[in-house]
Amino acid sequence: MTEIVARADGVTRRYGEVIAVHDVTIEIPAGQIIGLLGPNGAGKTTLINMFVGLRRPTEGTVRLFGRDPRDVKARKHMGMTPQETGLPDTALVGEVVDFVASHFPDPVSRAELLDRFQLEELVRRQAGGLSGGQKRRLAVALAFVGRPRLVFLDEPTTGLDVEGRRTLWDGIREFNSGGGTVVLTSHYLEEVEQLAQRVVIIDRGRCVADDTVDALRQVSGLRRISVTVPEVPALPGVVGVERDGDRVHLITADADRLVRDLVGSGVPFTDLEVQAGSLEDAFLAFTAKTPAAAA
Amino acid sequence: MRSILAYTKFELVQAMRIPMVYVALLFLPSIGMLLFVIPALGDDPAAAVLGTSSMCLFAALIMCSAQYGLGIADARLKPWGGYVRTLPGGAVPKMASMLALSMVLVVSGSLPLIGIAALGTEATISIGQIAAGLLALGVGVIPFGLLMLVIGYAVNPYMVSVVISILPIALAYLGGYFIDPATTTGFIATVAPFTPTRGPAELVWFAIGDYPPNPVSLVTFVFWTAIFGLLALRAYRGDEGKRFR
Repeated sequence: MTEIVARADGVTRRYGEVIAVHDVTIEIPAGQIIGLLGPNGAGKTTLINMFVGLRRPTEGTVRLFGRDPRDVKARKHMGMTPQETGLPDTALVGEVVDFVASHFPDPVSRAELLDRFQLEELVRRQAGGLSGGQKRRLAVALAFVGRPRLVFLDEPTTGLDVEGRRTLWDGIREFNSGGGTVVLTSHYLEEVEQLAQRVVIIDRGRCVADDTVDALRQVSGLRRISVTVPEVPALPGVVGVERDGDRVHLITADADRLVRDLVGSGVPFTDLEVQAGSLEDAFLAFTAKTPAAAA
Repeated sequence: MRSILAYTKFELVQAMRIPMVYVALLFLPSIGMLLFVIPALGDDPAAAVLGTSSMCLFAALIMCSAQYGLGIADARLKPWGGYVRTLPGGAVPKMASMLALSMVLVVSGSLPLIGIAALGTEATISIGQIAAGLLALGVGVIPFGLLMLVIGYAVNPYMVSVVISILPIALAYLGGYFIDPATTTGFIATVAPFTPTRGPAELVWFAIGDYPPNPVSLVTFVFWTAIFGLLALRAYRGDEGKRFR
């Protein structure tokens, strides 16, 4: 049986009148990459903060390696990214790394870590003077200093260029193939699709979906039909249109009918493709399904 | 122990990076030297020594309030402070390192005040007494540091700057830092032994002069240190960063 490295049982967190997280139950088994998705303000950060011991649940229990996350021992095998705005501006990169490393019994050496995240040349620079992408890389690197078994990566690639993002993805996959567990939040659904095996969608503090990426795509029932066409005819049953040059993506619930209509319309199209809807479609379907809060 | 050293080094390096801050913190105690110690006690060697040490304690109080009160409140508002709390360090290295840092700051902050005393008063003191006095100051600063930890963690961060701009002066005044330590009558002399500022002062006075410490002050010294220590631990553990409604 797979070890459960972290779990939340019926966890609710209130801030005064506001319920940020409402009765969420999640198990995080060792070796998984889990994407945590949700609109802004859905409660993702509050949920993560409870897993890392920053906040106590109002109700329910959170366990990290079988202990209360507020217990220092529970956090020995856990890594986390600080928000990039949160680095101490005046501290040197090397000092920040050394400081974080001092908390762990067997940290990665500074040289090795900086090399892995392409930060070697920045070791004598002050954190406040780094570019956005450099800060982000440093923030992510800090999550891995203590040779963690579980990392929480909050928006790890925001502000990175394409190459930086790919490099980081490779790093996350490598960590995962060595048995590491990852909980990832991201605004880039594509990123979650690429990396995660499982997706948890949080909306208005509740867990509205928890399944594999493939299953979630299917559940939304939407299909994406891509064609190269100079002009898109008005067709019934299209719920969304995306343009990418003269490549057009039509989102629909009934792919068969749309293809028939497309052929019937007589427009000269080429390169027809039909795909299961993306995670993004599923995400929109799930977060829209939740009944709106009484306003 | 390794993490206490790492925390101390980190705090010290960060503190030294902007040294002008500490010059500003020495402003009020220096004024105290010029307006109180030199004119009122300057002609009496023994009293001038004690008065100077009172200003060193006052400086210590101000530095602690800036370092802890403001420093912690600031860290609670910033994501880095939250991040450090997720590291497996706990409260002990954090607090121990801050106390170590205050001892360094207080000793270095006392030197200019001792310099003023040497130039402007009749105070005479041996090197051995200065060393003993600084040692006593290092011990005496512990309850100040703990008190400011409590304030830093327990008070609303936006309120902290108000509290710490009033508290050091009020405590220094009530503790009798601005009167001749030998005074035994009057309101201040009556309430002083019960304040958290008096015990540390009497310890320092005892170390550098022939001041006989009041047993009541020493008992309250231990009492306040224990109380502030407990409250500081509780406040640290109960802290969840900033709170919004």
